[in-house]
Amino acid sequence: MADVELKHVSKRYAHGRQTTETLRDVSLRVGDGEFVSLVGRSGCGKTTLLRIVGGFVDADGGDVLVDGSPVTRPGSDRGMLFQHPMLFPWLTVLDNTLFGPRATGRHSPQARARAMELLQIVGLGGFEFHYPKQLSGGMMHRAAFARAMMAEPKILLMDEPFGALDALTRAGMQQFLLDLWNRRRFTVILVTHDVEEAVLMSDRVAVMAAGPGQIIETIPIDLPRPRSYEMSETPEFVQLKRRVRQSVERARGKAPVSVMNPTAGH
Amino acid sequence: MSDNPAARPAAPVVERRGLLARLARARPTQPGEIYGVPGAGETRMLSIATIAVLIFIWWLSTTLGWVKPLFVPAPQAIVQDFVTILRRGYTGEPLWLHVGISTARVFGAFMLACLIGIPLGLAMGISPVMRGIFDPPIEFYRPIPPLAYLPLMIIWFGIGETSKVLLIFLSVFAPVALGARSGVRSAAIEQIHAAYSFGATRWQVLMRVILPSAMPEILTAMRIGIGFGWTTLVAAEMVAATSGLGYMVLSASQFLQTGIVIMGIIVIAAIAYMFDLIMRMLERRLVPWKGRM
Ligand SMILES: Nc1ncnc2c1ncn2[C@@H]1O[C@H](COP(=O)(O)OP(=O)(O)O)[C@@H](O)[C@H]1O
Ligand SMILES: [Mg+2]
Repeated sequence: MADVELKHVSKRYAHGRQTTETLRDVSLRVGDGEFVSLVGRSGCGKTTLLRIVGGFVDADGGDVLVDGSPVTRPGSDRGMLFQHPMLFPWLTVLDNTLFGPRATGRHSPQARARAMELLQIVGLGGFEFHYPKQLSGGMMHRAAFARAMMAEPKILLMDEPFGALDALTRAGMQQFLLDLWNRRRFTVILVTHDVEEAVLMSDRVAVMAAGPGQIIETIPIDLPRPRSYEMSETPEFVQLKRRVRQSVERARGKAPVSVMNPTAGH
Repeated sequence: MSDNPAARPAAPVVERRGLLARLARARPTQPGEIYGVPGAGETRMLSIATIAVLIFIWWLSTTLGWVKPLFVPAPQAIVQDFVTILRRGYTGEPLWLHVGISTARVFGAFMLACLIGIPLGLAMGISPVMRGIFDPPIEFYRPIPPLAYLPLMIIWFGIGETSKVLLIFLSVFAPVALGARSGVRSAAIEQIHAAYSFGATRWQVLMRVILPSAMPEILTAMRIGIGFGWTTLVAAEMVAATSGLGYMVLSASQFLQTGIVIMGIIVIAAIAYMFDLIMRMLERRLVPWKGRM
């Protein structure tokens, strides 16, 4: 089991004497094996929220629970894919992928074989022994993705992981993530600014507004699984996309649809 | 392009912008080169030419009698001094012994400074307690020239090897420890977070993320440190030494043997340069991932 529950989470950042209210009263429940996306314009606190779940940043108020216990620190149950690839430049692509198994003493020939396979899947076959500085930006993102998947986290937190990829690679990675998720059903919180991506991948889309960051609406995506890119032309898909987009537009006006609503759905 | 006579005078103006403008203008990329890397390009030929010109001017000014040999002996006289001392030694000790003793003092002090300074610097980087304790003493003594506390070393530790090695140690220790300390900040916080999220412990994060990130800065600090070590050598060997290159230079100067003084300086420079080459090789070996692109 691996569910995430945020209850009335708030966060302020201090700059000298001033503080900015980055998150206000954010509540969200992500069930075990559920795929939830966070969309909202940049600066609305998506990264901050993800970092709070990851245990990298402390919330000022409210509760953050994973499997019912409060989050106090990062852990290998929660994999994190950052906005920037954050590979270790002193390790080859393969050694980056094997960082987790080595750190936790689970390194083995099987782990190595799995890492090679993962790198093959993300299209980095033949680049296993390259250093990150020898890769293109998109390749670094894919290497980081393979590295995160290697840890087999129960909860995967992703911060605009495909934002820097070209359209073709992005589609491939999305499909790969969908297939993987279909087989393993880990819990996912995906931050994205791509409405289509959010609709394609998610069970629910949480729409955030800025200043202070809050979830104004959670939209269930009742499309059948397994999903694929072909669906994106169906009327249901197009309609859901419009619905999310309208919600994001409304979020610009910062008027919460219903303050009582955020935790609803599913 | 245009035949309009009014446009003509504009062209020479562009050409007359001169050397500064030409230096400021970006060059087109050469084959096999990355555009815009500051200071890219080969310098070896230029360096060799510079050295050759300097030696030539030196030779010329001594041969033509512009300076007295007491002040600047001719280059060939210095080669002669070198050969003589190589054969007969200096003050009863062979040259290799002077070289060996000085190298042992500098290198020993350097090793000791690295062994203590790097872990301490890392500890200062990651622990406010360690930083609070060790920052004041290090920052206090760091700007003081070694010659100023040399008398104290002698009063406290006598005129034996201890005070000499300690003096060199102190001059190497501060840059190495401070380099390691600031190297700790080289790791991006997301890299550290990533490591934690893969299940790494605090110790593993230190050894596998913070230390490798700090490595380039530590190696640079070591290079600077060993340079300081050689700089302090002569001061250290002023203390009742009977051997060593610093001693050789100082005692030769008392007998106005300028040739030996210059020869000693060149030998010190050559050894220090060799150490620098070794450090650079170590850098290439240990941090091959560092560098642009
Ligand atoms: N470490 C920080 N220190 C101060 N302010 C921060 C910090 N991180 C984020 N913020 C502020 O919080 C707000 C939300 O940032 P972020 O969570 O990165 O938004 P998003 O990921 O949605 O673009 C921004 O206004 C930003 O200035
Ligand atoms: Mg962000």
